[in-house]
Order: sequence, then C-alpha cells, then structure tokens
Amino acid sequence: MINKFMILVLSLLVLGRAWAEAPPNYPFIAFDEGLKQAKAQHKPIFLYFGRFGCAWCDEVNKKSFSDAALRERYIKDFVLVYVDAESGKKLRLPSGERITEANLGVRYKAFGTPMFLYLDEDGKELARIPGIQSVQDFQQYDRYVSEGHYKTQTLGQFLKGGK
Amino acid sequence: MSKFFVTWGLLLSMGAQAAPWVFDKPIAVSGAAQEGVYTHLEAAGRKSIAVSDGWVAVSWEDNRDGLSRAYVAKKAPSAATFGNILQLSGKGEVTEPAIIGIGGGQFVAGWEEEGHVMVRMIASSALGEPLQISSAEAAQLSLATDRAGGIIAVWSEHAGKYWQIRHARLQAGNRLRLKLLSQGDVATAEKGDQAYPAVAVLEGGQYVVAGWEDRSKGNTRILYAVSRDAGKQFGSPQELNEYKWRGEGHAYGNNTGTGAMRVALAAMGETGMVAVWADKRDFESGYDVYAALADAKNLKFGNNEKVQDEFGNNIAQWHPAIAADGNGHIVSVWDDDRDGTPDLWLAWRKADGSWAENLAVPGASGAGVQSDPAIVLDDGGNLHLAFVEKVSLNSPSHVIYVSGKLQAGSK
Repeated sequence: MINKFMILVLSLLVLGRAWAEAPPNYPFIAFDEGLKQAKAQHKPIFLYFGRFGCAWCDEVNKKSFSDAALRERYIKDFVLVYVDAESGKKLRLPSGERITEANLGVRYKAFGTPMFLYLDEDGKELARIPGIQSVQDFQQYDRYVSEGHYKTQTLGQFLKGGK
Repeated sequence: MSKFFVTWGLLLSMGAQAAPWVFDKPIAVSGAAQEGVYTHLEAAGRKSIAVSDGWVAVSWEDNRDGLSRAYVAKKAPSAATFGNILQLSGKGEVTEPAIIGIGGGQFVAGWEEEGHVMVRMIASSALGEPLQISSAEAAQLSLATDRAGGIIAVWSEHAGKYWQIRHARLQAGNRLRLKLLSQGDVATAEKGDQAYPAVAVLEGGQYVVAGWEDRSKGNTRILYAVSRDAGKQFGSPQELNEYKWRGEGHAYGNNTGTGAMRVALAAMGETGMVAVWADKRDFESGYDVYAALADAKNLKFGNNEKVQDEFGNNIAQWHPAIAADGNGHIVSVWDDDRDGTPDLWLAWRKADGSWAENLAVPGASGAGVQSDPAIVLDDGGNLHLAFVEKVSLNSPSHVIYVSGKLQAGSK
C-alpha cells in the first residue's frame, strides 16, 4: 500500500512547477518558510539566488556543493533557502506582503546568479557573495557567520586577517 | 553652486527639453500609502493601465482589507483625480490584475484568484459579472483588444507536467457581459514550463502576436507565435531574444545560453509590433532592457536592440514595459537605481531607429522608490503611466499616475 507521504511526493513530482534547481540532496526550502525556521531554530540563513539555465550555478552545484563535508556543515549551521531569481512563485514576507521570487531578487539586488547571501534569523544581510565559489571559500564564509566574526569585522577584513 | 551642479542641471534640462512629452503632476490612484498595505502592479505583459476614449483606468492588487484583492480606479476625460476604488475580485486571494480599454469609456479587466483566471467588463461605475476562462490551475493573465469589442486573453495554465500558454477570444456584449468565443493552446509545452505571456493585436484585429517565457531548452527564452485569423489559432513558436553566450564561461555546466524574462508587447497601430523584455546577456550588470520590432508584412521580430543608455549599462534594469501607436511613437519605461534609489526611466525610439538617452520620469523619480511601471499611449500620442511608490523597498506602498502630453510637432 502506498502511504500518504509517497502520494504527496508523487503528486509534487507530477504537478509541481519545475522551478530552477537547487543543489541535489540538500534540504533547500522556500524563503518564507526559511525565515520561520531560522527564527524558530535561532539559525542564520544561507540564501542561494539561482536561475533556470544558470550555467555557473550548475558549476557551483557540481564542483562545490557535491562535497560531503560541506553539505554536512551547511545543513548543520544554516537554514538553507533557494530562490529562483526569475520565477513567479509567490512568497509571503513577515510583514504580510506577498511577492514573487523574482521581486525578492529585486529587493536583495540579486542582479546576477549565483548570488549567495548570508542572513541573520531576522533576514538581515550579513554577507553577500556573487559568482562561483570553491569548497574552501564556502567553509570560510561559514566560519565568518557561524562564529560571529561578522559582528566585529567585514568579510574582507576577516578573509584578509588570516582566517 | 558648483560647476558640477550647473553642468548636471544643464544636462537634466537638455534631456527634459528633448522629450516628446511634457509631464503633468503625479496623481494618487489607490489612495495614500497605509501601514501594512502593500500594492502591486504585476500584470503579465505589464498591462496594468489602459485608456478608453479619454478615460484612464488602472488595476492593481493590494491587501487593504487583509487579503490581496484586485481593484480598479478610473479617471474621467476632464477630471483632475481618479474616482472611487472598485473591487474587481471576489472572496479569494488575488494576483496580477490586468486591464485594457475597449472604447466607449469601457474596459475589460482580469486577474488570478485562487488559481483561476477571471475577467469582467467595467463601464462607468458598474461592473459586469466575472467570467472564469481557465479550466485548470492558472495565473499570469494578459489582455489585448482589436478595438472593435473583441478581446484576446492569454495566460499560463497547468497542463499535465508543465504550465503552458492558453488563449481565449472574448466579445463584449450587452449588459456588460463578456462572451467566450473560443479557447485553445498557443503552443504545447512538452519539455518545460511556459510563463508570463504578453499579447498584442494589430489594428484591424486579424493579426495577433503572443509572446512568453519558455523553459524547454535549458534556459529561459522568449518565444512568440502569430495568429492570422484574429486569435483563433496560432502558428509555430519562434524565437524572439538572442541568447547565444558571448561572454566567458562557455565550459561551465550545461550552458544553453543567456536568460531573459518578462516580455511585454505593443501594437504599432497597423504597422507592426514591438516587444521589450529583461535580458541577461550582460551577466556582470544584471538585466538590461532589450527590444525587437516586427513589421506588419511578415510579423517576424528582427534584431534585438538595447534600450537603456550608457549610464544605465552598469546597473540592473527591472520591470520593462512598452507602449506604441500607429504614428511612429514607441516608448519603453522601466525602473532602475542608477541614481541611488529606484526611479522610472523612459526611452523612446527615434526616427533613425536609435533609442533616446534615458529620461528620469518627472514625478516618478527622486527620493524613495518609484517602480513597477505600466504604460499606454492614447490616440493623441499622449503618454499615461502608473507605478508603485513607497518610501523604501519593503515599506507600505500605493499606486501613482502621471501623464505626459505630446508636444506639438513631436513625432
């Protein structure tokens, strides 16, 4: 007998709109859901702005997010949020305003993809990283946010200061 | 006063003098901005403002009563302000209201409500009965008229695995009733979603062009299809935007080309069509505004033309809209923050085929946020603009209207 979960998963596969793809095997969720989770879990948010057909997103997914240790670390340290910067999917902001993912990109000035933003649990921007990044880069950004270095240093100062 | 400011002032005044339109003072459409109320102009194809024999109507969505609903306000031909706000939608949550003028001071509006696409007629202060034209989960309605009571609607509707563009022909009838004449698929979505359609009808009504975002080839491309029988059937999809990658990064991933989104279309009377869209071919500075024209003879869109000027090249452009008429006027508007905050910027296509230097729209630029424009030209070539105004990106907002009177001798 197929259980309810399987039915739901199959339904989503058949009926769900094909938004741009986040790295596989990561628990990326929608922005509004991510804000709620971050608040509840007192965790920062890793916000990935991607785009359907974004070759550089594909590159980062394959070269960096395929790293098992990085995956484990990011799942542990962040609420993972993926936004398709061109999509019309609707999000509800904490203010009650409902906007599209594309317009969320406008508000966060996600002019290019991939664009990685690190946010605190209230959605305030802590760091902004455009373009392709290596596993080592992502590890440093994780330290900058998770260890609270953003409170006393800019990201540039942190990276320059010997990490 | 420093030389810089003198020079800057001269440049501004030169730009204003060169504009074919003289702009009037902005007018509030949706009332004052209120705490907790968020206003959106998001019609597919950016069809959120319309004219009809001197009347102007704007449709928008806001949550003034706690839930997002579709509203309309109209301005009479000689009135200085907009009249009462009428609620278009029913009890459900709404997105993306669109509106067109069909003559005689009448309009047709449409919107998405709880996954259904609805349309209804508007005349004076009366509203016709709403009519549902979608049959499955649907959204992103856009509208166009043949100016003889005929209406073409296009929208994105769930069809099996993907969303695809549907179309309908409607006729305005007595007692504000809309009659559904026919429906069909513009193109079959077999390998990816189709979204955010736009539609325009050549004067006379026989030729209809629909454009949309297509995700069947690995990146988002703008496709279009032509109907030569007043919108009963559409021909094969054709490509509108140039998407071949010209920058670095060929080797990365499954690179199928640069992206594009949010096409808008306008008819140039009976002489042809013009399209604009947000284009990602310059990946370093975000989306640019690109345009293409198709003449009435073959309705095939030609070379892509960059619309924004050099000062806008290093900044992302958003929400491009387009208006045109049969007297050679083609004008595009969008928002970008090249001056620090989002403003409306205007460019018109000159007689030599080039696009004018961009003009920050008077009354729609300066401090705060002015964004999400919609634009239409009336029969006199006068320009009508609606946009969202707010103090900052996430603050409460309202809809503003500004008009531009065509200067004598301008073409």
